[in-house]
Amino acid sequence: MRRLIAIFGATMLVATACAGNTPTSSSAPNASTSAAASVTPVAGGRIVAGATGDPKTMQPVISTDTQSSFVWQWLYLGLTRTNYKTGETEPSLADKFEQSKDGLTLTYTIHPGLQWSDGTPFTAEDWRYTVHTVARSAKTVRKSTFQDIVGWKDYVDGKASSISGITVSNNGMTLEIKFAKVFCPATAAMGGAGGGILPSAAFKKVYDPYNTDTTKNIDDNALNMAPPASMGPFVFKEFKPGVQVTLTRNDKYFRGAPLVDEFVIKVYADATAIKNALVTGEVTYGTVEAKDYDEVKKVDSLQSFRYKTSTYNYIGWNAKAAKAPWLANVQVRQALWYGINVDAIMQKIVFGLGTQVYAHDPPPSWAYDESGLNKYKYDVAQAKKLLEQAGAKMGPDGIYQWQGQPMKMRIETNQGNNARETILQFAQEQYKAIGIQIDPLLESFNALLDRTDPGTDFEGFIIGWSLGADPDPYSIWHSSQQGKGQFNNVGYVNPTVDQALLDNRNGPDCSQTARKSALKKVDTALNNDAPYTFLYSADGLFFSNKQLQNVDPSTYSQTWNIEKWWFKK
Amino acid sequence: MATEAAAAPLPIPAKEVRRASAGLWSDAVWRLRHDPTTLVAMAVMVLFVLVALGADFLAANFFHRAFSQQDILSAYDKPSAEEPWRWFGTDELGRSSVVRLLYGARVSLFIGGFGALTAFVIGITAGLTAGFFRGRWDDLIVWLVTTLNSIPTLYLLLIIGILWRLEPLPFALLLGGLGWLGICNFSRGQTIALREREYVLAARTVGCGPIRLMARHIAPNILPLMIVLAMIEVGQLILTESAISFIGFGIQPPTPSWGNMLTNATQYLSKAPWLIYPPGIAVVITVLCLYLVGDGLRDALDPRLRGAIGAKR
Amino acid sequence: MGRFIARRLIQAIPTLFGVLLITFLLSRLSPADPVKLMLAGNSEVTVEDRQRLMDALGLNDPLPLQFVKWLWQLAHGDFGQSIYYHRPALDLILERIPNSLQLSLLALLITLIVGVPLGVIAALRRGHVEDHAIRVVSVAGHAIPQFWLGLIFVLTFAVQNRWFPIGSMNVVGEDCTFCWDRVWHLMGPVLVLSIAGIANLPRILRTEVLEVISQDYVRTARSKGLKENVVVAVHILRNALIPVVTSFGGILVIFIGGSLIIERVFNWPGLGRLTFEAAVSKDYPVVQAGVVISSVLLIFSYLLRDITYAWVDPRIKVR
Repeated sequence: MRRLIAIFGATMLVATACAGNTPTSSSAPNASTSAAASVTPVAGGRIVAGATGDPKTMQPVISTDTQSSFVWQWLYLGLTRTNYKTGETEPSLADKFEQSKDGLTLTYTIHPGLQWSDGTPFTAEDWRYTVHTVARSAKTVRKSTFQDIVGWKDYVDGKASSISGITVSNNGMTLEIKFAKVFCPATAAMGGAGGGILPSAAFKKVYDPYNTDTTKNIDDNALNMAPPASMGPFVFKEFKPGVQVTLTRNDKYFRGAPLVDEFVIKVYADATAIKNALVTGEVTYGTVEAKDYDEVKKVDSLQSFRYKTSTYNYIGWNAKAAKAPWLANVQVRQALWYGINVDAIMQKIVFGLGTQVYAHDPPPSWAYDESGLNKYKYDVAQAKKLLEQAGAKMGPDGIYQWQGQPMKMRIETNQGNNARETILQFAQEQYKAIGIQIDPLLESFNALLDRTDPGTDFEGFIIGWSLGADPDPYSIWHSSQQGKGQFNNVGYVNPTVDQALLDNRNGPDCSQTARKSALKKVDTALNNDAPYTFLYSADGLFFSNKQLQNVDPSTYSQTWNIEKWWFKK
Repeated sequence: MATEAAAAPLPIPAKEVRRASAGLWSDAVWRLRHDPTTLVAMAVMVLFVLVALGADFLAANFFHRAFSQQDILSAYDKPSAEEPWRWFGTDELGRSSVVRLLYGARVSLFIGGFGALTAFVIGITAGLTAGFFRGRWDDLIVWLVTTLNSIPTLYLLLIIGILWRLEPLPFALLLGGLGWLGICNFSRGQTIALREREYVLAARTVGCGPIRLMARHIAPNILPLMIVLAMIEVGQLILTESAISFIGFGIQPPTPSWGNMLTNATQYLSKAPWLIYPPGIAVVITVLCLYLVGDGLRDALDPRLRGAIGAKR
Repeated sequence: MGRFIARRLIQAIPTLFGVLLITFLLSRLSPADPVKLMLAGNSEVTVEDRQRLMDALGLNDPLPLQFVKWLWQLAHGDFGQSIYYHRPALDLILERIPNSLQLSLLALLITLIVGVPLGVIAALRRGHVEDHAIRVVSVAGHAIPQFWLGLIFVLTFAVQNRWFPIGSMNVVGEDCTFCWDRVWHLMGPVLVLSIAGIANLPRILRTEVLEVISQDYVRTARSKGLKENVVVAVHILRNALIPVVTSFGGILVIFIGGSLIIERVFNWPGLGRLTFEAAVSKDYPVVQAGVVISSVLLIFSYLLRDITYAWVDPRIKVR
């Protein structure tokens, strides 16, 4: 009678629960793995990529999140680009770029005969236009890239109707930029105009920056969500909110029209859903989290790639935290580093798919040099000793007290990033062992960014940096970068570092040797002062459909040759 | 309102000869004694509650492991019989799945139980008073109930979840604060019917005050069925809690609840499939048993009313 | 009948008012700062800018005044601008409603098609194997968390065995509504959504059918010699359906509320998922609009239910 219920119910349970097995290999035909390119590429097909949310905007000037940049990067390019493996700056829309001997002038020669997808010619005026819109934009985060250009400040303040240091000549084929100060990363940073170059002809219709009106800008107009033209491999076709962004082949792409017909960016709930889509073939290529690597590697229909990335994860400690004044003390921060077993994190959370880091410059960078850096090997006794040296006294409940106040603080991170969530819980227990109580908080990524804006209302946070190829940590570590919307969230102040950062950025010796030595000073100081507990640089774990040919991802770009990708049946 | 149980009584096949009717509760107990399924379900529930209450004791003395105690080098370990804390395997931080299950029981049962209790108290008070006094107060209560009924619960919890972080106690109160509607409707309906009964009218004429009337004459009659509804509510709340935890707005880690243990387990399905069974089975068995107990109690208290409760909703 | 409908409509107004009041209060009570959210990413905001924006949004007015203003806006169909998408919140919602409706209506249909026969069989074969089996199914359906069922469904039938898609409304590249591709994509979510209804319905129906079976008029019909099937279909169902219709209320709540979970698990671009994502990114106008609209849908469906109820049971109208 009712006995049946219990039995049947239990059976159903076991049956459904037993479903959690690793996926069986699919029955895809064995793709030929010959390296010889004797097969003729065939046009057609659709590449589908996964994203965890809709783009907020499709316009690079005001774009601040990766979901947005993942869309506009296919449409708006730069005069130069980063070599996908070496990170060197190489020509893209510009043929040549030269820096004058004194480092104060940068000249670009635009490739002749380039056209936007709508037929209008591409000239240096497009670059000039874009930089002007950055100057007047209220929502952009890219101003610090251009602040050393002659005439920048006057224009931004509305005293001039254009930036005097930028000249376009030779029928738009030559671009000359004059700097007030030597700006070493110029050749790498200028090319993209901060992100991507806009089609000035189309955008001028909605916004003209060549005046002294500082109240108007490019931040709010219809073209921000409907890109009118493209220089990239694809052209914007349509956007269905919550579903996908559709791009189609750009026949006028200067590197050659792509072989595939369409590129679709599909929205999924989270990284796990994208992983499932990758496994079932709904998504053509993508990266996976460390914990899923083993599972996805077993799938027959996918090929895997692994490379170092120009990123790193860390725990940031806000030296200005109102509720945790001890974070301003260097010994306390060092104790926090000694007190967490990063080795165990590498083993059990990252599964060895990454490299531990001890300072700012990530492994692929030419400035990366871990010689002489303190490795902060996990040492609970050392951590406690440092805390006590700094003045902490052990309280009756096993928690240290700082000037009478128990050392209790919050660490926050974003939901949806599995590694970070796990590290947060791990850190809580680890710090309990050295007498510090942690209050963990999980929140949305936007909320995290919001809350960790330079200020006094947050203590610890776990997040990562994704860095460009040219090392210029000025905006992250210089003491002047602690304003709203800027990136020195932890309130780090060190005059030696300030100077070294300026040396790296403004030379005047821009040789790699000189810059490397300046950056070494920065890294050494950071390693010693421990404003972050530097954790690790995760490897890129890239998978693509075996039928897709010519895929060659690496550190700085995975899709640099997407116009050559084609589906072999 | 739905039809009351006005059907002609079915001829009940005589099972056993038993003593004369001696009262609602003793009748109920007699019937329960002869209903094995409900008894088993009750036993299971009592066992779960005891285990949940004893979580601290068991963790310290039997498992020698706290629920948040990590051992990251033992992460993703299969269940083994070596040590008690390894019985159900370990999770991504090397925590003991079985110990977390116990504490999760405490959290989930607490939320379900306390929430249902809150719902019960609010529901009965509101329903009784509304049905008894009628008039303005009744209108207000009915309006409140209909309004809250019109907002999907999850949406409401969503808004509240993004505004405030929810600890178990406030969470339980909140769930109770949203779950009293069914109990209120039912008690109100019953009150309205009962207040016209002769014994109530008689008590009134004698001069009984309203509170006395409600407390001593009406409440005892509706209480048994309300208790049944409340038991079923406990199960519902446990399910709601796991749903909210699934979308990330419920109990936050490291505090374990069956809901967030389930969610966590699905993330690691390929690496640690053993994590998904304990919380899932626990939830299903608990809700199942609560349902069976509720069902059994209802049948025990008055088989004729089987129809009335089933039809209302 | 017309007067009944009118009366019910009028009765729905205070409910709607209550919903709006609660939604408004909740959002204003939030400790989060809506202005800060709107200006997020803006690096050069001054105190004057903030004041100006707050004035413009009417946030400096007393609360009751804000409420009235908000109601006025709503009456004009202005639910505010989505902070994330920079589009009217109402537009976003209206785009998604058809998607959610597809799920709910189909789930209701499946529940009826499967649940009604099950309920009748359980009643007619009371005490036999079928009855118990159906009871088992009912109780099991109650106890298993919906999201878990959805997740297991996706993992077993979509990822491990590619029998079903892992989600979305169509495969990439297709955009059709009335085609096999859409049906194939609908099967998973509709199935999981309707489990809740299938768990409830047979039990209620069984109770009612049992009650009706013993009624005198049924015995009379039987004795008149009408064929068994006719007796069942015409008399029993007709009367048993009344409380079934009542139960729709409960079932619909499950669908509209449960769709949030299902849409997330199956990546379905519906109202539930939109509201959820807006909640996560603190896009208040959209969350508010989502709650209000879904409540309106619910009120509307209660209304439909009552009207159907009145139409089926003539006794109600008189009251």
